[in-house]
Amino acid sequence: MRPPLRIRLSTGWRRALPAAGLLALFAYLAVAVPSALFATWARVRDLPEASRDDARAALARFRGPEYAAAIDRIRAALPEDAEYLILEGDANKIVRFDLAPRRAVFGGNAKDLRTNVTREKLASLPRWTVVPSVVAPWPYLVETRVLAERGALP
Amino acid sequence: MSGGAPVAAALGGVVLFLAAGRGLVELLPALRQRPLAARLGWAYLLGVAAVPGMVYLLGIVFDVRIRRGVVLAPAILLVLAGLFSRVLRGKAAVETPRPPRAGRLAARAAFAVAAAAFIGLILDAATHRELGWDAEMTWSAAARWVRADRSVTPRAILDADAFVDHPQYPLLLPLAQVAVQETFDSSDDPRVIKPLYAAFFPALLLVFFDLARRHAGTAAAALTALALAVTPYLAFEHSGGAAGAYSDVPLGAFLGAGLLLLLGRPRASEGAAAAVLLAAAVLTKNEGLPFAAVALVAGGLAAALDRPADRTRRLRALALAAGAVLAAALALHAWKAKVPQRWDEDYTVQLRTVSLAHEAAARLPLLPRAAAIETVSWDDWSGLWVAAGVTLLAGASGLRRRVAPPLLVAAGGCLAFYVGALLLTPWRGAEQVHPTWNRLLLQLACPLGLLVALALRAGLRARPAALAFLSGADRIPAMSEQPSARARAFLREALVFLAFLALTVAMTWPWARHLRDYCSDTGDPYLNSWILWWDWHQTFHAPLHLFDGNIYFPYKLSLAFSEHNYGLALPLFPLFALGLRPLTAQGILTLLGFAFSGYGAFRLGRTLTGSTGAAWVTGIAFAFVPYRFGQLPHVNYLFAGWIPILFEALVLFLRERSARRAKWLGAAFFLNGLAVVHWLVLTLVPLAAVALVLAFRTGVERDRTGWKRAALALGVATLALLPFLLPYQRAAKLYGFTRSLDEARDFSAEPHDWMNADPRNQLWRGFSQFPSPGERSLFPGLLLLALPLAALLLSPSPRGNAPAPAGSPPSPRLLRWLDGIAIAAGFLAIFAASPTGIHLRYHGREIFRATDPARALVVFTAALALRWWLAYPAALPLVRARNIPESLRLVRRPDAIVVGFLLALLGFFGSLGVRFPFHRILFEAVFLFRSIRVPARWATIAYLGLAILAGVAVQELAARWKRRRPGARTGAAFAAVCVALLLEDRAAPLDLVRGEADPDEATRFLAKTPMAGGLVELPSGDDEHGNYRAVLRAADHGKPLVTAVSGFSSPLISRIEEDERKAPIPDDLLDLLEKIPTSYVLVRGSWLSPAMRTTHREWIDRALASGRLVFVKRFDGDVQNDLFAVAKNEPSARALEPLPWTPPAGLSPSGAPWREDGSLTGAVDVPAEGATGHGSLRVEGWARIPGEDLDVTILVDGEARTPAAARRIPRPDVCTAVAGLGDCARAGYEATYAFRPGDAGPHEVVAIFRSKDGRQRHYGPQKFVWKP
Repeated sequence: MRPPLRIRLSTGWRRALPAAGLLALFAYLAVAVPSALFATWARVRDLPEASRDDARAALARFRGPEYAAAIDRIRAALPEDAEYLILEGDANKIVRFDLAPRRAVFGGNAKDLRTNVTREKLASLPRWTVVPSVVAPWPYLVETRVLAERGALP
Repeated sequence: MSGGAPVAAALGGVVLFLAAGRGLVELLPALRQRPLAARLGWAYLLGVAAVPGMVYLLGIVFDVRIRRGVVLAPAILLVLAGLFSRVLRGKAAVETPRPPRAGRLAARAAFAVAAAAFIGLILDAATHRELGWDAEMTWSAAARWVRADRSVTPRAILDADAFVDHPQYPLLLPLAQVAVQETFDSSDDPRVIKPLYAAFFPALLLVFFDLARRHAGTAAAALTALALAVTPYLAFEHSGGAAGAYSDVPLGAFLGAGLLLLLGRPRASEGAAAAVLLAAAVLTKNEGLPFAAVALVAGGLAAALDRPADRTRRLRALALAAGAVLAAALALHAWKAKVPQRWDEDYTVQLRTVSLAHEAAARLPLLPRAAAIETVSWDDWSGLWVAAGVTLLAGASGLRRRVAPPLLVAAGGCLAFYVGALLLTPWRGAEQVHPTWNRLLLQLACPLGLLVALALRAGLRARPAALAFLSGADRIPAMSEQPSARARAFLREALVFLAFLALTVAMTWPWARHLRDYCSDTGDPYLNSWILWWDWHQTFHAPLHLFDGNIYFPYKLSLAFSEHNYGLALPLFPLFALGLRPLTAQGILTLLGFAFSGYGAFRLGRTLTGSTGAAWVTGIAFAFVPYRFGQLPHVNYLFAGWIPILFEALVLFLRERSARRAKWLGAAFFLNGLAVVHWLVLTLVPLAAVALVLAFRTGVERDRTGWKRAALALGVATLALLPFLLPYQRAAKLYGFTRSLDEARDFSAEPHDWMNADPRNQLWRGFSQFPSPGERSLFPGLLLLALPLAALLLSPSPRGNAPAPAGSPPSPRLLRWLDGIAIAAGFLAIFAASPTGIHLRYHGREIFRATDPARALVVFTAALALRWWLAYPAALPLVRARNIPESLRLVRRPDAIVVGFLLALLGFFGSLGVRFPFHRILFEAVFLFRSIRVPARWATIAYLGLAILAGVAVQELAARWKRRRPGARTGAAFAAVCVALLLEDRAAPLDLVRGEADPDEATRFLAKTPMAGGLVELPSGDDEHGNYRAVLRAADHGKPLVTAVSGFSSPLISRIEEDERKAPIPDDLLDLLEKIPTSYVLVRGSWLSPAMRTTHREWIDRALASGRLVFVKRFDGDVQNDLFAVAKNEPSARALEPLPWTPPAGLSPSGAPWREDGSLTGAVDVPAEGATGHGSLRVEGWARIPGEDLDVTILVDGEARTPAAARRIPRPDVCTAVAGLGDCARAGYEATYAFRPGDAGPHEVVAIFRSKDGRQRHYGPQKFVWKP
């Protein structure tokens, strides 16, 4: 039987090869260390401006003042232990978080309102519906009854 | 809550867990003996695991209401227990072995950088609200529900109708959030809880370092920790990293710490810590349970592989951990049983309904590519895993340690579980890899990191001198050293280069971040990108025709219109082979140019001074001199590293005139010339001067063998360079390319230009003439002027005696001849410089004329130099020696001073160009110098000299300091000057532009289209864009390009540009295009001004009508790349789509051509000429002749665009004003056009009125400005 093939490296290669790994890591560090330090510097530079924000200003800085104002309006209208219906949309998870601990009930897609939000179901649905959006027209409240009557968003 | 309050509450939360965990650490003997930093890491992890963990268990088992007391009770209990233990035990000294110096340095570096990154992270966390998508969707939302209901089973989670994503996700981290908020009575401001996550970053790193150093040693562990610390994903990523509020970093810390504890030789207390941590992992994320189980299996394997004597201890710790994991799993199961599952992947259901084999067959082939894309993502990892992969492969021998197999089992097991979950996920294909793979890498950071550290350890053990340079090793590698010593020296050099690369990344920030497609501007970088690509392309296609570029068709040798840069392109060949875009390669080369220039100067400085510290000063001063930033568009002139290496090779050769060093001198000469022709030319005189001066100073001028060797080496190098130089001579002869004196004068510096700072320099930019003189901004910075002065003043100058003359005195007759020649030439030069020059006439015929003093000056200088070389005139005052060689021997200053001074002087005089005799004489007398358009580039030679002198100055200052304070560390002086130089030279953040790295649609089409002739791109020579973009695209389509740009222009292009700007464009242009021959014309519509658009459209319409041009296709949407074929040269070209605009001429309904008739009455009232319109464009007017409402076609920018609305409207006012039109009920027209992206800017509208009898009238154009 033929013996298994084994590649034997010369002594020089055996010693030089691990050093290549070291070089690779140093090459990475050469690029990544300055990047990390600059990233830190960018945050230090932004600190004075951002540190003055209160909670609302921080939200306005992050999502825009219109969004923050819209969330404020909904929070004022819905007590913390209230339930609300929330419609489908990319922003529904964001809006749900900003309205928590208010509890959301999923209301489906706006185009399916005629099926999901009907007069017959009104009794079992929350009084208010939130239409989520992180861009204009921003999140807003609609009475669920209005949706049931119109079968579409106002 | 005001801005400062969340910061206080956030930091309070971190302290809360630290204090509780610190108490726990005190109870665990193995951990309390660790160094302080490690204890802090352990304390934080154990604190977060224990406090919310206990609250969670209390909530599950006893349904305890979550209040401040419930949170504080376990925390206080742990603190008190720790204190009690401490009091009982007494304070014992902690003794930790001192690691070796290299390890200490690496650890300090890692600690410093990680601390800096953590500062940025914690500031970001405390001030910015962003939590990340999943955090808002799951964990932080859960925390709000838990806190509102004060229960681990809040109504929102229990109510099956409530809209909750991942309701069964474990709550450990949400409870940690609640703990912080309850303790400090804070609001729901997300900034309060973010530092809780950020603090996991240092905790993970500290604990990893603490555990990894046991297996891999301090240096390898520190370097790996540093590598993890600076990866963007771990630190600054909001969607998974420590900057957000995801549970992946906590899971990675709990799991990694618990696993690595089990894989050591755990004492009982370490087993207890592992138990707490793995239990916390189970309660942190759903995958925590299977991962913890894998960790236990790995621990079992470690026990099996261990010595029998240690096995029992291991198994005891393992049993403890397994018990904790089981308890946590049971508690979690009990909690989940109460929570209705919805809005989540249910893997148990999936497992029943999905065929795993089918999914594996469909999805597994997709996973490697998707995972590879994530792993090599530059924005996320900056190449960490690529480097880690290379390290693992190269250092595989380091994985022979006993800890490696369990680590591989742990990583492999978790990976297998991950892949299994991917197969079951309802998401299609490999979609879920994108958000989850990087998080898996985070979760496995500790085991993967330890594997890398083991491989690194092999590297460090193989090359123990690898870090020697960090500790100030000064030894210069000798060629005769043993192979292993040479290998170590190579490694050290590589590390120096990498250090310069790191500095470059910082000094050119943010280029490294946008390396793919950013550049300094869209001019010369595009041309250089093409040159580099052409070198690569032609080498493998037609190397013997390297200089016959595909630009400037039909001219030959177009590569010789500028620098060929072949030596710069060579190292980029592998990158091109990998498919890198030419612009990206150019960007990489630019950064390498800074680093290599610094490295080259470092070498020269080290060789001349023998000091590594001085070499760093020289390298940094030369690499980042402000002028280099001014050369950002010219990568070739920025890349000056071969210059100092050439001078170093010369110095080394003069020290030891061996054959090997002669070869290296020849190689350096060749590589310098191959890289940049400018540097070849500009180093010739300084090289000769340095050689002569050093040779005569050291008395080696009589070593004939040595000189023969040098001559042979340089001769061979010159011969090898000839194929790269002769094409320039041929091109010059063929096309008459030489630089005029006026051109060279424009780019010759004036002395005050040495005080003009480059506008990019952040410190001195105010000290620049306005407008900036461009390449004549030569100010090197204050330090680089002051330090050389200090070097000249401070360096010791011991007096010496001139050695006795070795040869016989020169012949007096020869001296008299030389004096005569010098005097005659001098007078000739003076008179030739007069306004009229010298004109000698004989019988009315001019027999001699001298109007330019240059050649006479050459003769004068040569005669004088030779005369003084042989013997000074007796009348020469203040000279001690008899001739120049003796004077040189009398100069006792170090070589570094002499070389530095010589280079600075020659470089300075050279930079004055043709305004000063030095370069003027060379320009007039030597052909090569007539190719230099910008003599100010001599400044690079001067900077090198100044940088050497700066190094000498700091070396001398440091030595004096050392003499005054013998205990002082001179390294600090060098470091301080280096930092000062970097600060003074700072140009970052650079103002970069996003280049067009990728080919557009038209270019891709052209690449596939065969061509008999060339391509003309219009507009050509546009003020704003030039032809640079066309040249860059020529590197993508590879077809012959007529309208190009380079160092010289061509009459053909001048003619095209001239004709193109005429109104109307003459039809001769078409004749010219056919003659060139041109195959295709690409008209970039969006670059045409309204006026040019009109003339171009008219010219094209005529050519289309006559059949000489064929419209092929419009590409690239609003860019409007309209491609036309020249029918004569491309007879088979066919239209692929109809012309996108309406030609003014065409056929009327009767089949006859429309007849232009100016008597057709009508108007365009809106938009008024010069008006500015916002939003939708309304075009309104009227068109009627007696008895007929005219048909109206509206052209916007020459094209019939589909209106949003169009109708006829009554215009009674027109009937009132114009008699005889009849009924005007439909005389008016109105059309509205929607604003589209790209519409902003000047436009024109034209109305075509047409009658039924085949007449038409073009009304307009009416110019207006359209705004959104």
